[in-house]
Amino acid sequence: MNEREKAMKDVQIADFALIDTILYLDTHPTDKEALEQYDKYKKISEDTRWRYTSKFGPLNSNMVDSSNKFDWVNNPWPWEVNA
Amino acid sequence: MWNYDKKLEYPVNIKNPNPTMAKLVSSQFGGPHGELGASLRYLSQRFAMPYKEAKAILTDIGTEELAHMEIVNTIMHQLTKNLTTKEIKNSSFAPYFMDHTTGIYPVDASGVPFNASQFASTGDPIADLMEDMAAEQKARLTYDNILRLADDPDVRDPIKFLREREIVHFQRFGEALRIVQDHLNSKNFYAFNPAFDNKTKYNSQSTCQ
Repeated sequence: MNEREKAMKDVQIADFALIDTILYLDTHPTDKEALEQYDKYKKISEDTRWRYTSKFGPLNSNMVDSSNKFDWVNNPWPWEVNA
Repeated sequence: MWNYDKKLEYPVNIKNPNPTMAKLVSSQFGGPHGELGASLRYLSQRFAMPYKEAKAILTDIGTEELAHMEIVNTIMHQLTKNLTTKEIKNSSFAPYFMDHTTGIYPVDASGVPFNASQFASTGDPIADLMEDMAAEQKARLTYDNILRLADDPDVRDPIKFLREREIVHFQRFGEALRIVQDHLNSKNFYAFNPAFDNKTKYNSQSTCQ
């Protein structure tokens, strides 16, 4: 696993923890423990996403650093091997 | 609206092409228990849902199903990369190849194209949520069947993740059904449709909002 794949895996882990917490909160919107977990994972998700983006390009078309060129279009796309 | 992240929800890195396995996995894209039907089912049903927690769960699970569709499509794509014509000819993938080459198209494992009659949106929240729980269980059994036939750990790993998500979604839909039923007051023990029938008559006022 290269450095980019490792950074991507960190994003996938953090975002997944957040996705699963959100589904639980949908049906338990006042659960204190889950709300704390949401705050914690949200922070970790934001950190890992920016860490990935600063080195390997935008994860979202609204995260492009437009000073140079529109690197949203760059390969690899998610379905490509080792993406 | 939706916002696309340039990443998979769970990684897929398949080293060895296997057209026969691609044919089987395609069922979880275009088949009766597949992710395309799942996303359309929940994202359509939510418009008839009167209760806020259940609106949220239909929206968020429907959205996650789009990400699962992308994972299934990625598995199909990677399993059919760099195939020789001989490998295609000798596999059950050959009839699919005839019309779609190695492009992604929604069919079930026996080649029947996706059909919207594979899912329901009844306008009745109780009927819909009962269908959703059955749909999650059916998707899970299809992933179980894929795991019975797949040897490659590169394929099994993301399939196991998808199977686990069906189990979580089943649980969340069960909670949503309980929330809907808790909103129906004692005058509505026959569970008339709370999305359509007279709201004040059949819904408990205190919990309606």
